[in-house]
Amino acid sequence: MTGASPGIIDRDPVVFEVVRSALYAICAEMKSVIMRASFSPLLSLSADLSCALLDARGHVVAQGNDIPVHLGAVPFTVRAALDAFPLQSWVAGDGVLLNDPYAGGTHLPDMSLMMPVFQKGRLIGFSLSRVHWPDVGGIAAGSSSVSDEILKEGLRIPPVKILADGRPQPDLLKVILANVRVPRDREGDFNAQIAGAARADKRLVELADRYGADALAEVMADAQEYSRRLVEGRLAALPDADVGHAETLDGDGVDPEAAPIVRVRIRKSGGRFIVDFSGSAPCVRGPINAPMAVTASAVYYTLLSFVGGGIPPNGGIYDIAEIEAPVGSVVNATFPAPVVAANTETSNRIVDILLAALAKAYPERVPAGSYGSACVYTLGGFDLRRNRPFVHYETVGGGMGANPQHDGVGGIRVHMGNTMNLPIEAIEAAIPVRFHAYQLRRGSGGVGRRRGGDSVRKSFEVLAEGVEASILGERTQSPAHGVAGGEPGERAQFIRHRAGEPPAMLGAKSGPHRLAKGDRIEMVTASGGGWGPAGDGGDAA
Amino acid sequence: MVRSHLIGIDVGGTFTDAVVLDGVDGRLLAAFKLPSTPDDPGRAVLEAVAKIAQIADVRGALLCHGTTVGTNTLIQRKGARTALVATRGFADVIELRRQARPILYGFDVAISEPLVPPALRFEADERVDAEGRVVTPLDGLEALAQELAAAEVDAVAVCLLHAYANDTHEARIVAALEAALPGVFITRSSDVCPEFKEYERSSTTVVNAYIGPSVSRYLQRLDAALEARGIERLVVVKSNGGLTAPKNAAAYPVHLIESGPAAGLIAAAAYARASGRGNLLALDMGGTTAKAGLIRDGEPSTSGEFYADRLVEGRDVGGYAIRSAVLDLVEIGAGGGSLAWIDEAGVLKVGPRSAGADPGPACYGRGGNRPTVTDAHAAIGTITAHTFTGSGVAFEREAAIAALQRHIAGPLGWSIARAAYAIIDIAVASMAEMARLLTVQRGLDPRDFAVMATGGAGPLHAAAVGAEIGALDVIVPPFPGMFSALGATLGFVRHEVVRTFLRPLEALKPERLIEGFRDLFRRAEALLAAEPKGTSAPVFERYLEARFVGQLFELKIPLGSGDAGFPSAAQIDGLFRSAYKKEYGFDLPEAKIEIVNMRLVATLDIGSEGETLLRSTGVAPRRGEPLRRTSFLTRSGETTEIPVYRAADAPGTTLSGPAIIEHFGSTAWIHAGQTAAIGPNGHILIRLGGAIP
Repeated sequence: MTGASPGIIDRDPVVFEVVRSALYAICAEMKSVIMRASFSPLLSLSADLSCALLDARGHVVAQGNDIPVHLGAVPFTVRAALDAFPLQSWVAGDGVLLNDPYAGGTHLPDMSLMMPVFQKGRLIGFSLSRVHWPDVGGIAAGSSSVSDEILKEGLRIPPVKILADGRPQPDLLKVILANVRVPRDREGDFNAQIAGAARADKRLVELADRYGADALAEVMADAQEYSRRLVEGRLAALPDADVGHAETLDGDGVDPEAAPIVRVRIRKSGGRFIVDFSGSAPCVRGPINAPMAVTASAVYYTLLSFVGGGIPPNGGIYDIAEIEAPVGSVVNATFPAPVVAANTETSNRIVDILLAALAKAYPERVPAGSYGSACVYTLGGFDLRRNRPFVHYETVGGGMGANPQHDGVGGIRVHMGNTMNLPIEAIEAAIPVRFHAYQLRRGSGGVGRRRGGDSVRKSFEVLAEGVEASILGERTQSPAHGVAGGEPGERAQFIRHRAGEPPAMLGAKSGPHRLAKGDRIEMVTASGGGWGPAGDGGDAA
Repeated sequence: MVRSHLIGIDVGGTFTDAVVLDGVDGRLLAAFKLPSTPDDPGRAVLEAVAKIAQIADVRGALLCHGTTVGTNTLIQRKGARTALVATRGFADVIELRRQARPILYGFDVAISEPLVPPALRFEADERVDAEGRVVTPLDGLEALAQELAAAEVDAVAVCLLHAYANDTHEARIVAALEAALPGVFITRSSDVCPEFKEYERSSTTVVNAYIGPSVSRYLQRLDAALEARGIERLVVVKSNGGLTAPKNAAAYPVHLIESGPAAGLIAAAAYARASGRGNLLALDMGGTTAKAGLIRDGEPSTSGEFYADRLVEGRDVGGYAIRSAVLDLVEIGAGGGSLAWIDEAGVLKVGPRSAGADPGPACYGRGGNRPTVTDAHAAIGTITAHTFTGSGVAFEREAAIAALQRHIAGPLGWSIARAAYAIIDIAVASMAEMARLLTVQRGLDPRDFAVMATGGAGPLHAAAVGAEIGALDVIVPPFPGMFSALGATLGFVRHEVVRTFLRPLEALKPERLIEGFRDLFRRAEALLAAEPKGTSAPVFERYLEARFVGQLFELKIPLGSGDAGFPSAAQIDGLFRSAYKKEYGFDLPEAKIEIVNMRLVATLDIGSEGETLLRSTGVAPRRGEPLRRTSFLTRSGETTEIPVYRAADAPGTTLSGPAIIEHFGSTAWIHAGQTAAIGPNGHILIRLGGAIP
């Protein structure tokens, strides 16, 4: 809080709580509008999108209960948008779109739209949505495949003013739609994104009308202060530590020898949390390089969860984590390194590496390693029976690491992502595939006093010729670690079955694979690690 | 049709409430509360009937019942040993759910345990595709039946992929199991919830199986016992607010999960119609939770899906998806017993943890020493020993003040008045947030609604909630403490049947529409056959659920009632587009429309005249004098006295706040600057003068 006078948090705790809750409710409503109006099952059924509100300077004040990797990267998005378009230049109805991981984005499919909100001519904040488009062009359907430079991953959009007066600039939109697959659906998704921003605008203005723009600004400031106090207070209550850990990532899909190391040192000192990635390997050729925004998201997520959860995440906590990551490394990628898998895979591995380091000082506070992945698979092609092109993107859950209190949950999304699966009945009604199994791999979680979560086996058959498939997974080589004597979980496998041929093992990051009608893809994700030694009496349940 | 009496009975956690209405003119013959009997909830119902029989003739009566047996069976995990039969390869769908976790930041994630353990999940060799074509014919039925017989289960849920599109495999499995497993409760997804999305459909069917045996046993025993006492018929309130006979209720117990709260909303809707105030925000606050629902134009709003048992000790564990028409309710952990506490950043919080019934609030004198919302009222003086006369509670205001001092006022350096008012303000803020979820968040202006407060603690907070959200005014209806029991008697028999009918609108053939609805009519008629006779013929309303191709959220398009002709595809196109524009603010002229579901709603009037109770009557006004004056702590910390009225003694009186009105087992708090008009039929209308000073 600035100045000597107490903020609204002390002066009027009730208004503070009411308005703060309303800000979170606006994020949820914005998301619901986008989902309902979108044209992609990835949005309407999987909810692969996130919404946030920013104060008038662009600091995050509230965010939906959405996707941590989207949300933690918001400060980077805002910085890039404001670098391109200074604060004073925004007028009502402006909208800035970007997806460039080297200018505020996370990976190309995540399209961020930032719009200012004015009340009676005064800038009172911004809305920001990050929406995963199922395709943004590039070498493979679904824009989530393997290549050796970002230019092959899809259309790259630096911060551009896409909206004026709340309407898309037609020329710019034409260029974008000319470079993506199934453009009509993408246009529908973009309309939904604009509808979400319009709803957020309306609600934020109502809030300012009701409580006054000054009070709203005070709540926005104090909400950040409140979260900062909580995180710092909880950190300070823990013993200090200086711990490190290093692990290699599971290959990059391009270079068979690639095994870049991620090295981390964490210093917890009072209310400070310093994370240093010095000694991490340089960028590799394949798409596992993490832009700084993704690495920082992983650190923010780990910090918030480590101090115990239940803290409203916002701009107040981002400054607490002091992050060092060598420029040009696999955790601070530079152009033209490809990055698409960092968002879903590397980010989760970074969390597990941070947790392994923290386990050395605080084993009672952290879980074992998880499946380290979102496990993305994409399909694309032409559906002759329905007479239309299609693109399909889905994530597959895996095992969560066990924690000191409970067994890890099986078949669930962990850490940096939280999109839902697509109902098999919805997929089969939309594209030419038939599923053969969607089940838990029982007993695959790491043994321990608390068992690691079991992983998932999901397999499908393609019913059309010439379907193109890509896979972005993790942990086919390095299993999820156990903590305090717990065993590691089982590893992942990706297999192509074709009639008359022996099963072909597919790389964890591989594609685009051209499939023949009748081919089956079997995906088995990794399982979570166990916590504590097995058989020491804690496993009675 | 003349029926001797209508009895409404609502079984809650603490009390079983009963009302008796004259079947002819709807006159109230009796209204009372008895302690509930949680070990056997039917016992309190029969005790209530016995008590009624002392004052009225119960023979030929229709007994309308709101029950929490289904919810309690689920929440307490006392359901049947249940097996699941799924398509080979997909038995884990109920455990894999939608793969998302309920909390985002935090490592200790917990998910509701599946109701069927892995060992009781069986797989059938069969496969149907999305268009309903058989890909793999059903095989191995005999072996499956043997395996299930050996598993010694009490209930079986059959949930196959795409069974909404083709139910023949499910039907054959059910037939084989019914022959092999006599006495076992067997249910299938294509019957309970014939809609796409395998997790949600399976989960709904599994809940149906899990609570099936206990709910059907309860209803059968109660029905037989009531019949022996001369009651003509028992009908049960469903989550959608409709009534249904025990036979139908026992087949679809999953439709009873929100039976109790739904009855309350039915009464709210009846009040809205009787009073001519179509828009109400119904707020019910009891000891541990507050619930809210919306009445628009005299009708409660409904939703098609909810998650049962989602919050465990205030923590989101996902819950169990249930797809079924349910009156739209929001529930939060803020009741009279909710605990006030200070978090580590020094911010005052209220709930979601509750002191429960035991030890209860500090002022109950049962050993509780943590301050609650009720204790804040005790300190202020809005609750006194009079509130608890005859309840066995040894009220101690000093204990409330001590708890507030020790846990809130002391640590924050506040006065008792500041602490007490802050607790109430925060509880009110949570209720207001819940009210906003129902209104503001759906684009509705709270100024178009009156807050209607029921439950023991509802009227204490309603005036403040109303002022906070900017509602028109606040109403405390007649019988606020027995509103759900009254509501049970006010419903209609109601059934909804649905089938998935996925196809482009342009490919819609009128004969398929006719054929589809004919099938739905047959299903509705079969359900209606078990119901009591209505006072007029059943009414059927037809709906299509449609969306733009590529979207996955549908809008419901009414297609008229009965056997009127169907609109053309072009007319349906126009209806959909105008509904879409209303919802999202824009049309998509180039997008095509597809039909997803056909839905038929059948309603039958059982002839309740109970609504007359809620209408204003011509009782002569009497100027009411205060019963007494009570000591009252103001927000600024001064002690003054305010008057306490009894609603029954003061029909026609208009009084100004600050004041307390005692009203049929609950207490209304009228703030300074507000006025309250006590109506002749016992309702209280509070006019809000803007913000509370």
